[in-house]
Amino acid sequence: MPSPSRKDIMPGTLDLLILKTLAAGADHGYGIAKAIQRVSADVLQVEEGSLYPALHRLEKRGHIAGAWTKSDSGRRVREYALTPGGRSALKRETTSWHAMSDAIGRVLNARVAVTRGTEGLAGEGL
Amino acid sequence: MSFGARLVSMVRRATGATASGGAASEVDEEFSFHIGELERELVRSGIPAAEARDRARERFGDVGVLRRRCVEIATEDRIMVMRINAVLTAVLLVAVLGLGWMVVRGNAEQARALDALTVRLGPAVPPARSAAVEQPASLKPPTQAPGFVYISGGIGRAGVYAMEKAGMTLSQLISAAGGAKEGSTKVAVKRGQGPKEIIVAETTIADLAAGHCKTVLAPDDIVTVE
Repeated sequence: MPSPSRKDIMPGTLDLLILKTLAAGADHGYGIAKAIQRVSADVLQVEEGSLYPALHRLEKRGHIAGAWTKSDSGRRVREYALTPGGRSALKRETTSWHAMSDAIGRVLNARVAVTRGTEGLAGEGL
Repeated sequence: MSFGARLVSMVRRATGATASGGAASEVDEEFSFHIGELERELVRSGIPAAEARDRARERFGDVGVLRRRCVEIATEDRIMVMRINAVLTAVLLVAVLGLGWMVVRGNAEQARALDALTVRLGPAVPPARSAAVEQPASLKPPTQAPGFVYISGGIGRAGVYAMEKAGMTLSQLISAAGGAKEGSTKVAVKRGQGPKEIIVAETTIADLAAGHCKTVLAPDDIVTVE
């Protein structure tokens, strides 16, 4: 069981996280899941039930390319690498994510300001 | 189930299995590696091997469901293309068979229509006299192949008429030629040429109209209406 502080990946963001992880280098499914968990300081938990369909979907779109290779233990393992198309998609999706994140942040802050009855809706802190 | 539906079903199953079989085995191998790594991770954290194996499998989830989802993603285009191909092939097959059937049916109908027109239409282009015409005339009803008869005199459309088969009567010919003109009363049928020419029948328009004359024509007969 994941700890209470752990969060499942938000819908629609797993593809972005996979692309970002693979921007650091090719990796297999298990490695990608562990990297996301590690970089997020154990907050984000990637479910295998979502990870593999996402990997296959991204591969089909041409954003990543899968290839069979040998692991350190000598086992056959399928590694995924970012393609040029995937790199463009990562850049585009990152910009989109920041825009969306900023917009959501502004709405959340504005709602708090209205509740408190203060002047001005934007730029208010919690 | 019809033969066509069964064929399409077989093609669908065969193509689906072919497209997804390889993908499924690769997906299984990929999952197997992941579960193995999870198991090793748990063992490293101090969990006994047997328990680690069970927990790794539990954490990974339902392999069958996940495999199916991944295979569907990987093969849906190929399967779709194969299904479209199978449907197009079936449609093409039906179209070819239908076209063939229509051609055969059309030919048969055309042949029947031509048969009917052969007696009705005229006058026709007169053929060169054949050797058969030179044979001695006979009073027996004609039994040979189709030929032509000639009609002239007081008739609506004088000329040469093709006879589709033996058995065409004098009444049928006069009717096909537009009937006797007003004032015409007599009809003669001559058979043979030159010195061999004989008069097969002599009758009147009135007798023909009354159905008293049953003369059957032979190829190259010459009918004169006066």
